[in-house]
Amino acid sequence: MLIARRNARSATPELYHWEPNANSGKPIIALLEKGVTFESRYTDMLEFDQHKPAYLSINPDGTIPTLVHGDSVLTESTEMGEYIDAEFEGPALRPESTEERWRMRWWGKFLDGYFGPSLSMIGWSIFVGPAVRNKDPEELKRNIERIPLKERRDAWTKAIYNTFGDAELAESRRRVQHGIAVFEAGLGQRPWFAGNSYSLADINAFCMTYALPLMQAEFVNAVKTPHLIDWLRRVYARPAITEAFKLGRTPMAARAVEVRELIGGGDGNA
Amino acid sequence: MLELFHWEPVGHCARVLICLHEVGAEYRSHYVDALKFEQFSTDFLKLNPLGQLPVLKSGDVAMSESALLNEYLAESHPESNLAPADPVDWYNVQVWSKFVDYHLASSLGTLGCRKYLVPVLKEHDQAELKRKIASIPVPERKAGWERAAADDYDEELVTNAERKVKLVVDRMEATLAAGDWLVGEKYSIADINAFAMISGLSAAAPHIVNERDAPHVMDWTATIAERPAVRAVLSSPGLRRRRDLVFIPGPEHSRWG
Repeated sequence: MLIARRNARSATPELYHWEPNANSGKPIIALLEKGVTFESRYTDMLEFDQHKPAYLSINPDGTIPTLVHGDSVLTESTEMGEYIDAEFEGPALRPESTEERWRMRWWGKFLDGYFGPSLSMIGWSIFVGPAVRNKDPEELKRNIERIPLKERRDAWTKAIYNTFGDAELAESRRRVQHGIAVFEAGLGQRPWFAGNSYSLADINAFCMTYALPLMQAEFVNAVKTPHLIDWLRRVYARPAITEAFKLGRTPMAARAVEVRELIGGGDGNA
Repeated sequence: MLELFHWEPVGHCARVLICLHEVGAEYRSHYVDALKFEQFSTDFLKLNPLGQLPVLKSGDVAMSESALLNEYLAESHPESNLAPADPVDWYNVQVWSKFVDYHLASSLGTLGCRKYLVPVLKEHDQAELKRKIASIPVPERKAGWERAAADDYDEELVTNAERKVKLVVDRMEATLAAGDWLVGEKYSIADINAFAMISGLSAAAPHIVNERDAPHVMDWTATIAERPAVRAVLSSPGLRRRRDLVFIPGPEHSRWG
């Protein structure tokens, strides 16, 4: 969805988000890194808040997150990061070099188009689906019918009725494995995803990889992926990350504490 | 000097060729014959392990993903005014490009290949074609070529591709009825990125992309086609080597969400 011109440039931004995770995590961390004061509007995805009329009046696509700034309504989380970086004061989250910017965006595309959907499919099959399946079947049916986008409707239908195919889950696992190898190779060449500085690519990648040492311990560990683990330690050590996880309300955010203990070094005081 | 590894000036390759000409960058052209599977050669895979065209090389850095290459070119040539400085406009440019990539690029792959690539592949030696496709080292690319070689486009796939094309074309039609360009009051890389897909779809899906259903989109397409940079790309014999129109499998349709 596109956005309107804004009048109120000084307005305090409002962020509608779910857990500090995946797409919701990206703008939360970007705003915190910039030191921007914002209104947090926790939107409970597991209660289908994002498909209720109040939310749809703000974002008719019914996707999370949504950033409201003055008259502007932004709904694409990766592009939202560039807006936040350009619009607000604070440390730059995009490299100066045009080549590093290209690389930052290349990772964004890889994460959003390849790695993220596969990780998300697995996550929805083991967490989101089971978390909502025990609700009243009639209510669930009504909730599905209210979802505006076909792609989201299909995803929720699969999660609620657990109709994931073995082949598609296996393919998603293969892609997650491959993605991990690509991350490890990239971080073996450069200290941060885009190059020499922490950027939106690191924020995006962190939102999708922060729990891997716990969830994929066999494949993501100090022996098999030393560069990825070292990078995770450095990102976990950032104060904005500690602040971001305080906005979580489910056991998902608690995993961050466990991961920090597991990989060590990232308690923010080290 | 920049180097561009590209195939015919259609789809993703057309996008970046047009942008190079718009910004006036000097570049060396390397034609990669996609119908000879040169994009899966060992040398090319070193430039882009995903086996996708085009690739733009600056010094030792090989860059891919057509929409991102145009962002790179526009930002490296601020005087071209193809990348708006205002954060709202820039967000809109990026979101249009993403919307077009997500829905149109995959659909042009499906509808364009079904109509134009299938008959071309039927003329190939089938045993050799099968062998070449079997040796494609990137699973996502291999699947697209297998589908085209087998003419395996079921109704659901085609209907879904057509639905996506209509979704974007309707939104473009509404936007272009209200203004000349997709974002703000200026021609930008959002227009270039969408133009390359829409002009392909006007051939591959004329029952959706046409004068009757999308008059403003067709006017906008005709205006862009007249730009000197676009004419230079589309009419240059060095860039266009085939006489017929052919598409190759593009990015896959989204698997989740």
